[in-house]
Amino acid sequence: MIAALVLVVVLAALLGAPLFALILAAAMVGFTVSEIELTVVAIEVYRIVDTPLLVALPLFTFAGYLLAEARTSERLVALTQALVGGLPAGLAIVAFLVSAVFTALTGASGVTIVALGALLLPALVSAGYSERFSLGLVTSSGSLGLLLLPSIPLILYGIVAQQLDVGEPFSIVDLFLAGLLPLLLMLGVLIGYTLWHHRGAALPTTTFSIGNLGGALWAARWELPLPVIVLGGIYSGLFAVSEAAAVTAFYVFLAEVVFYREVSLQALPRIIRESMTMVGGILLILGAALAFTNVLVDAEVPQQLFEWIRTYVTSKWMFLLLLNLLLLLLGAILDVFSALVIMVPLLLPVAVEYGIDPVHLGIIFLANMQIGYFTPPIGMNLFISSVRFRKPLLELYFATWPFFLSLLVALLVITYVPWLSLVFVR
Amino acid sequence: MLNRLTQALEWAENALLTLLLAALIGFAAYQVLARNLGSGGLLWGDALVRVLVFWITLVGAMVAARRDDHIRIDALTRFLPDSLRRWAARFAAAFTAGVCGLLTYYSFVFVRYEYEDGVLAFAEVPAWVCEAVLPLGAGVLTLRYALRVWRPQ
Repeated sequence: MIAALVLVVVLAALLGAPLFALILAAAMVGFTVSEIELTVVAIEVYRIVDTPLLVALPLFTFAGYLLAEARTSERLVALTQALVGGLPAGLAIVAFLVSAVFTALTGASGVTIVALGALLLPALVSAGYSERFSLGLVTSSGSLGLLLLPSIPLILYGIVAQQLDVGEPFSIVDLFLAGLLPLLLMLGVLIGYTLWHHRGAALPTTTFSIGNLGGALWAARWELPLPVIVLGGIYSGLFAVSEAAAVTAFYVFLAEVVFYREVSLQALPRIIRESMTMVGGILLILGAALAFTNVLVDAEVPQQLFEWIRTYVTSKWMFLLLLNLLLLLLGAILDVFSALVIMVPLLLPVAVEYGIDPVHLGIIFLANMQIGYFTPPIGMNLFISSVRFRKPLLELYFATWPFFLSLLVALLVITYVPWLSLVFVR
Repeated sequence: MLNRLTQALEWAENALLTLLLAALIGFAAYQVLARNLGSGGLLWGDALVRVLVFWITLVGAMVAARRDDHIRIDALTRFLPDSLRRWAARFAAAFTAGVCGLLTYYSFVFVRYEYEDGVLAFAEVPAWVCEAVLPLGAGVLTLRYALRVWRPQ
C-alpha cells in the first residue's frame, strides 16, 4: 500500500505535478506511516506564521518587480558605465556588475536576462565585443548576484537552515557577510577571463568625464538612497532584514510611482498580482517543506543518510566534491527555491557531521545553483536567453561554456577555501 | 453561469491581493518608523504582519493556480509529444486536486478545533479567523485543478 502511494508520487513528479503538491503528498504519506493524524499537515503549513523573517520575502519581491518595471536598469547601466567604463574591457565589467546588483534585487527569476539583456547585448556588440562572447556574458550573468544582499534565495537558505537547528548558530546577516568575498572572486575570475580572451585586441573604452558621472548620478537621484538603506541599514545593525524589506518596499514605491512616475497606478494591480503569485508559490512550497522536514527528522533520515554515505565517503574533501556534482545537477533541473527547501534539510545535517560550517554550506549551495542556472542541456536561463534573443540552444551552449568553466574554477576555490566565506563571520 | 462565477472569484482574489500587500507594506513600514522614532509600534503589529504574509501566500497560490503557474519539474514533460503531454497534464492535475482535497479537509478540521477552543491569535482576534484562509485557499486549489482534469491546456 505504502509502496503504491510512493510510486504514485514519483509518477506525478515525472509527469509534471506542481512541487508543492508533491512535497505535501510525501509528507502525508510519511505521517500516515507514523500513524499521525493528518491535521498535523495543516498545523505545519500554518507555521509559516511563526517565521518573522519571511515577511522580507513579499516585500523585497514586490520592490524588485517595481524596479524591473521602471527604467532602473538603464540608469544603473549609465551610472556604472560613467564610473568604470574607462577601464579596459569597461563595458563588460559594467555588464557583470550591473547584472549582479540587479539579480540580487530582483531574484534570479530570469528578470535580469529579460530586462537587462535587451539593454546590454546590443551595447556590447556595438562596442566591438563578438556576438558569441556577448551572448555568453549576458546569459551566464543572469544568475550572478545570488550571494549579494538582499538576495531572496540566501534569505530562504537561512530560514530553512535555522529551522533545522544543527551546527553553529548564525544570523541572516552572517550569510550576507559570508557571500561578499566569494562574489568578488567570481567577478574577478569573470573579468580575468574577459581580459585574457581579448588580449592584444583594442577594445574601445569610454573616457571618464565628470559631466557624464554627474548626469548619471542626477538621473539616479531617487534610487541612490536605496543601497544605503538596504546595505547600510542591515550591515550596521540598524534594521533587521524584515525591517529593511519594509522600508525598501515603501521607498521603492515612492521612488518609481510618485517621484519618477514611471510606473502608473493603473499598472500596480498587475505588478502586485505577478509578484505575489510568485511569492505565494514559493511560500506554499516552503509550508509543505516544513511538514516534510518534520517527517524526515522523525524518521531520522539525515542520520541514516550520513551513516550510508560515510561507508563510501571518508574524507570531507571527497564529500564536498560529490556535493558540488550533485548540486550542479540539481541546479540545472530544479529552480533554486525548490532545491533549497528539498535538499537543505537532507544535506545540512550530513554536511555538519563532516565538519562543514552551515554558513559555508549556504554559500557553496547557492554558488552551485547559480552555475546550475546555465548548465547545459537544461539550465533555465539557457531557455530564457534562447527565447529572448531568438538564438538556438546549441549556440548558447557554445557561447556560455567559457564562462561556465571560469565560474567552475571560482566554485572550487569557494568550496575548498572556507576562509573566503567565513573570514568576516567566525 | 460558471464563467460569471469564475470572473467574480478572480476579481475578488485580485482585489484581496492588492489590499493585503498594501496593508502589509503599510503596517510593516509603520512598525519600523514607530520603533525607531520612539513610540515603539503596535504591540500586536508584528503578529498581524505575519498573518498578512500567510494570507498573501494562500491567495497568491490561488491566483497562480488559474493558469497553473506553480513551480514544477518539467524536464521530462517538455520532451513528450502533444497527445501524451495532455494525458500527463490530466494525471498531474488529478493528483494535485487529490492532495489539495485532503489538505482542505484536514485544515478545515484544524480550524474547527481552534474555533471550538476559542484560541486568540493576537489582540482580540481569534486564531481561527487568521487560519481560515488555509481551508479556503486549499479548496479553491482543489476546484481549479479538478477542472483541469477535464480541460487540460
